[in-house]
Amino acid sequence: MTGWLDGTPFEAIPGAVAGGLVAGTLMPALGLWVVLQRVVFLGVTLAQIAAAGVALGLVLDLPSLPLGLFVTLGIVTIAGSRRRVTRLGDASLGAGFCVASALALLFISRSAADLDEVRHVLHGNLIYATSDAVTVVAVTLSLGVAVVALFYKELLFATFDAETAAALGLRARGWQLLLFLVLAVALTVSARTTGSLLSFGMLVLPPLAALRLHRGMTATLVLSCGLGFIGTLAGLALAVSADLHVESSIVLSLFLLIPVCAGWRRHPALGLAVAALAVAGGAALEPVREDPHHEHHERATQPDPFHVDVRLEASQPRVGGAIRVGWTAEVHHEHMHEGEPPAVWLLLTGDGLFDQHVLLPDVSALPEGDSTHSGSYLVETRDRVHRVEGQLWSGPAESLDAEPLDPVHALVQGCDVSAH
Amino acid sequence: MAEPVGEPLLRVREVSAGYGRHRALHDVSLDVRRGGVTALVGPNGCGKTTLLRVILGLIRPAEGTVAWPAGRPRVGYVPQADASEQVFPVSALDVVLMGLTPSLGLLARPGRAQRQRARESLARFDVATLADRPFRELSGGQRQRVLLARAVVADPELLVLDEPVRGLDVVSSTSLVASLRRLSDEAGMAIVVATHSLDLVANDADVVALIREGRALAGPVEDVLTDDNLTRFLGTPLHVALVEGQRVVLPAGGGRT
Repeated sequence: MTGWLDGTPFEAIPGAVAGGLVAGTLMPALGLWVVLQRVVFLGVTLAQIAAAGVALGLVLDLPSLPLGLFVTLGIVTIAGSRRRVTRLGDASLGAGFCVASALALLFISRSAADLDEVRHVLHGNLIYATSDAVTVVAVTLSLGVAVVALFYKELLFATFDAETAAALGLRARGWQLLLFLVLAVALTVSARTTGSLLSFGMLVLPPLAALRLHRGMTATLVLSCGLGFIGTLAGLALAVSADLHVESSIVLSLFLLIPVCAGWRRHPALGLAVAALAVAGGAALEPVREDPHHEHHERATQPDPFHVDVRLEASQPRVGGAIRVGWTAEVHHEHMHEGEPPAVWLLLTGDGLFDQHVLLPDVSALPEGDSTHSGSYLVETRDRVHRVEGQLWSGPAESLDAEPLDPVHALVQGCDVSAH
Repeated sequence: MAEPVGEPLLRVREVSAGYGRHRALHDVSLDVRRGGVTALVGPNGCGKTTLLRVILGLIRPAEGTVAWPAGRPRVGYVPQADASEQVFPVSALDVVLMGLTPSLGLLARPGRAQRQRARESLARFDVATLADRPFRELSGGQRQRVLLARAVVADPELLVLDEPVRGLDVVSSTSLVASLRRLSDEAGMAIVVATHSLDLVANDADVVALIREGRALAGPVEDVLTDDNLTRFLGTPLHVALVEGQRVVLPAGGGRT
């Protein structure tokens, strides 16, 4: 999933961009029904039930996503067959949310998963989205939207006025159950990739913004999807430009669509003014965060004779086997003619891993001024590596006079690399 | 209106029904005939809505039978005003089109013919100009008329209404009742209406069922709407008087006859 964003600010996070835009565009088409029925809390409860199911999969060492789906669909079906899901009420949904959250944590505590995996299960990690995961999300959400589109008139009647629909011979309860089953599948699959916070945000925030525009039902559906796309793109841009947590940035952008649309409803100029304020606020944020979910690269300074910026990517596409480490170095040096030719190398450690790799064998041989260099290599591992710490060193090659460079934080995909 | 008109459409016999362990109806019997207006009257919580739900098939009777001598008819239903979700961004026309949903195929969409039919149904209740207005922005009276248009758009043989004039002003209420009477007289529709409006019952219904604590007394208005029955079933002394040819229900001892 690289290449299509080359040369854009999103070059380093293609998975996040693809996954975010797919979910951000399609999820609101389902979320509008949740918002209109005023069962918004059902969405977050379903997301939490899905997380508990996935966590149970970790405990039982079973495929977590299918098990999460099974658990969520089972609970929705049982609840729907006993009484109308829409009449469960906030209290029951709140109880379900609490129990599901507690069970997720308990299952996790009994599993062999480490902190990264816990975080992944409970909060997701869009930045780690693989092309396979994005494909699964895209197919699942597309099918969900197709179901909603195909049975639009039945769902509309059953959700707008279930009693009359049933009185006129429509299986209102069945249509509502279908809607919630679709929702359960969508949230379970999406939350596994984007995290429950972002899934829930994508579910409800764009429809809430679209409803501010006071259009008809079909137009509101289309607007919800369009606003979801715009908000997600804006959130990604904010995350990249201000070096912020991706999921939180998207949620914030999606939320800001609500005042923008409310302003637009009063007068388009007011909407644009609110949007401009939001953009200005985003631009004012400084990239100061250190966030393991996100791309980092900080200047590794070496007083003289050269400066080097090193950016790392690490990914572990399968369990165990190998980690692929990609690196990019931006070097600046001038008049480096004296002394031993300095090299720059990376020492990776963590979870039984110890590897040393030379990135730049001779900095003085590089063109004077600014130059960029990149490469990648594989590090064999016996087990799955969850956390890797990296240390950049510089000094004469194969010499004991090497010195650590200033702290460098590396870009990571699939595992957490930080260099000190 | 001495005798209920039309052939029997529905026979409710000794029906008991309720929710869970709670019985809201006990041994209720009632006939509904084509071309007649049947009113269900009683205090709040007496079982009117439960009886409507039994008739609509939304609740199965625990005991007794609900029989359709000529087969189950096409049904139209106007629920209580707050039954529908008010936040949906749907137009009045969209709401009326919902009434055609069960008769359309599973994947079929309403076409030009259905839209025309829905507009005609709105026109029937003098709200054709509201077709493209958002339903949530309509007044209570306008909403009731739109819901009534939805209920009759599929030409039902039986029209069931749950407190259709609740919350309406006198003008809207009178107009709505006149529309119901017209549907019954001209279209031969059987109408069952649960209401607190004794004026509607007294002058526009053919059959009345007085209900109290789940038990009903049903029959022609002339026979059932007596001072004694009203006082017994509604729990307060009432008197039925004739004023300019219209029945008026007054508090007993009010001095007007």
